[in-house]
Amino acid sequence: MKHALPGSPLTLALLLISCGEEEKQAESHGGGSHRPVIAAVSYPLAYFAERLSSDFATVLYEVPTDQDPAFWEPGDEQIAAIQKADLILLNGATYAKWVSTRTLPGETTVVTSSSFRDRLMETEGTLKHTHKEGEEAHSHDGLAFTTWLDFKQASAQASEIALALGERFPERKSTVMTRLDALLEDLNNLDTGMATATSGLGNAPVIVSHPVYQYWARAYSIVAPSLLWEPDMELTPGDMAALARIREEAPGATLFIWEDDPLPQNIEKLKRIGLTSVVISPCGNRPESGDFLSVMRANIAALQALSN
Amino acid sequence: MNPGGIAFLSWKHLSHRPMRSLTLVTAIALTLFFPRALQVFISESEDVLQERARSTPLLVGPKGSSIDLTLNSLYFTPQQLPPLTYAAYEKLSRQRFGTTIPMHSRFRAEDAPVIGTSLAYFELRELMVDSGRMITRLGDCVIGAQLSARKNLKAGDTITSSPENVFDLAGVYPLRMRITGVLAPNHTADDDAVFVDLKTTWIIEGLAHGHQDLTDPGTSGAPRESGEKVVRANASVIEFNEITDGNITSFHFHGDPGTYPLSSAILVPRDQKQRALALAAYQDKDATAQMVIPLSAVTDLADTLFATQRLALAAFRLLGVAALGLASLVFLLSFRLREREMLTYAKIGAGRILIGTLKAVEVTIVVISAMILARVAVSLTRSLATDLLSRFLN
Amino acid sequence: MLRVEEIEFQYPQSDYRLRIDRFVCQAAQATAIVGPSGCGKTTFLNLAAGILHPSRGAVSVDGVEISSLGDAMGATFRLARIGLIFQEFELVEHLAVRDNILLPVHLGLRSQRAAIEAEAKRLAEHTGIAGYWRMHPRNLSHGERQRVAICRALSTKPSLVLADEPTGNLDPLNKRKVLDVMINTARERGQCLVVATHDVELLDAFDAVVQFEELNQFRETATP
Repeated sequence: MKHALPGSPLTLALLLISCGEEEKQAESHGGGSHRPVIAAVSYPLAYFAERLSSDFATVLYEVPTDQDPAFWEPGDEQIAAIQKADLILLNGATYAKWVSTRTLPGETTVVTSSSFRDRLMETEGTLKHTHKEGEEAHSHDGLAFTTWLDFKQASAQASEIALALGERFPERKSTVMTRLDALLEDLNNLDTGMATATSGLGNAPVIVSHPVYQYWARAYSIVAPSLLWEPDMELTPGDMAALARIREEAPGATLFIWEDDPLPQNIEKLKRIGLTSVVISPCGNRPESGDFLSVMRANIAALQALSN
Repeated sequence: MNPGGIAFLSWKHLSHRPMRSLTLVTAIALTLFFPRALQVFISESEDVLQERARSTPLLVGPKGSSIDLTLNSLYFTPQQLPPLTYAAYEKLSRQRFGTTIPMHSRFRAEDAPVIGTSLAYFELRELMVDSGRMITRLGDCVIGAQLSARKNLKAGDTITSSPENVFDLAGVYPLRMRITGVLAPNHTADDDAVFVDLKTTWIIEGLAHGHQDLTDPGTSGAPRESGEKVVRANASVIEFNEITDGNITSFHFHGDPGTYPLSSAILVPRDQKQRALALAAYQDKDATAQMVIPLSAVTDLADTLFATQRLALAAFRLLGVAALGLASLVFLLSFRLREREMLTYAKIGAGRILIGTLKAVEVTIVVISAMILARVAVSLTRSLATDLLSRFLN
Repeated sequence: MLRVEEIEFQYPQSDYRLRIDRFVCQAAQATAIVGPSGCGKTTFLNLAAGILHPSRGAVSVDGVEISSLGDAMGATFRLARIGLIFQEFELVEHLAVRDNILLPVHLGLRSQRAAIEAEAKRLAEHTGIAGYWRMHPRNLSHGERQRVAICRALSTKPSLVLADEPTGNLDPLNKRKVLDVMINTARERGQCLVVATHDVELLDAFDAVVQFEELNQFRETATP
């Protein structure tokens, strides 16, 4: 056709120029030769980072699925890889114990809970000790660290990550902020869902198997005394005695929360004494299936089922 | 006249009395060497000091002598300065003027300074790991190239911090540190230093430690007070003086980290505006910390050195005149003693000019030898100036 | 040939005066000048060598009036044409025997080095000091040092050889030997040899013997 592409040479030239520009931008911000690396100390932070940056960055999260990220000890090579990351996302609240004994670059480190550092909770009932007479007794355990179980706090952490990404990769800022909006909406929905689910529990205390639900309990105004039980441990008479003491301190509890699926016999034992077991996974590590959102939705659903 | 013969006769006489000739040559050489060496040393030192200072934009430290602070932070010279608190450092970081780098330089491993800092220090100084790898945890260290060569240390070896006072058993105690790497040389004080994570220096300081698990009934000396969630340990609980994979999780810090001490902090402002803001922030007379421009402090020091140099040069010149006068006297006396020899030459057939030339050549040989010796010594001084400066500062 | 014509000489601040009307020594002639110590023989030899200058008169060597030459020219002439053997030998202590003998080369006769060195070795063989080539004077006996001085004076094949008591410290055998070398060399080379000596046993070897006290017209004040 005679007039098929009247300006085609010019168009072609413009196309070529703009491709060149994109390539340059991609190269200058690592798209060409270096893909940015974002290291995270916990799965929730890794999930947030993936939601915000997976199209241009690689999220480095190497905690084995069978280990608790809070107590995982990385090897020298893993630390070396983390040191080289463009951003290192820390939870704060003394979450990853290894952080205090390892060397990380300050300039690329982001403490995602810094916006609510004044609202962090100390763990209670921990064994304190002194080294010599006159010294103040102290505990090694420090602060409650599962901050993301309060979804408002999780939103603050996600926002902190987005801010850091925007500062570090300004050309990606608008994309990151758009994705943040979507993530915040999801977290807000989780918050609403959890509020609804927990409101159905009434004012009765809830006994938790592990001291990891402090922020969740505070967020949804639940009294949640804690034991130190693992889901796969056989409950001994001593354990049951400890449970009895807890129930005396917090009478009226009918719900027992586990981090993960407990042994059937444990469910049975608790059921016999009037406690219904429910799994609320803190999702500190990457789940075998699904993701953070699906795990939290499952938590909400589990509670919802009880209310119903 | 036979020039070769004259030179031969002169050389023969000088070599006939080697000690006397060497003494003369050395005396004249020293007269020429000292003033020049001083100038070279000060000039090279000035260059070295200024280059180091130029690469350190700003320093924050406790109030006091800015020169002491600069020398301690840049050259790790031992100084009796009060500490800067970690809270002050965090405050500086939060102000986001630029990159902040903590510095802790109180401790030594024998004669090598132990510098507690962050990874940003290595970027600032363009220090690369030549062998091994960078530090990754508490108790790790990387060492300078010169220290490695001097003490024959390499990655995989250990180095122990020195106690400050053998009687201070409850305070600073020796920590055996794992050498993970050796840095490439950069011809500065860094080549002789041991670099650790800042937190490691706090362990040396006794603000943090690792010990046996006190809740473990097997831990000796750790009685449990029943009914009370407190365990009181006594001195028989073993504290670890080396950080290993097996005990690293036991290491913990005591007290308020805000009170932990630093020697200083380096600030690399993002831009000129941030630099100006940072300087303004520390101009308050009531501030507990000071901000120093290292280049200014070093320039002040150089001015002092320059003034001292002028005095020293004047003294050297006087001494030089005296030494040359003495050397002239030695020559005169020598020629007086050799009058008979000169008379023999005259009788055999040497004119007055030839005899004068003979004497002049002898003096010239001595002077030229002295000049060559002095030149070599000055060149040596120039090449050793940096090392000499490091030893002088330490 | 050496010719001395009506020279007068007096040391400054001294009563000693010397006046010689005429003295001639022909080429290839060996002349002995005898006289007691202190009569002025050394002074005469210094005048003949051009080391001292007479206040009047002329000293000529091979037709060149050396008494009127300047310091530099006189020295150059002396170096090339006059061989001197001093009473005290006057060897340079920090030079080995070889370099003492080659002193004239070092002082200016570079172009003749090969010839002088060959002659020096020949003379050393004849005087028995060839084995001391690298030794220093302090390691030599009195007689050996004297022979070194003789070799130094003769190595340059001078026209005129002036020797002041050249055999004074030698044993009788070596005296004769050394004197024979000097006289034979003078005759072979056509040199004029003037020897100041008080050793009367050797006088028969000379072509002429002059009593210095008869030569010096101011002999009544004979102490220089």
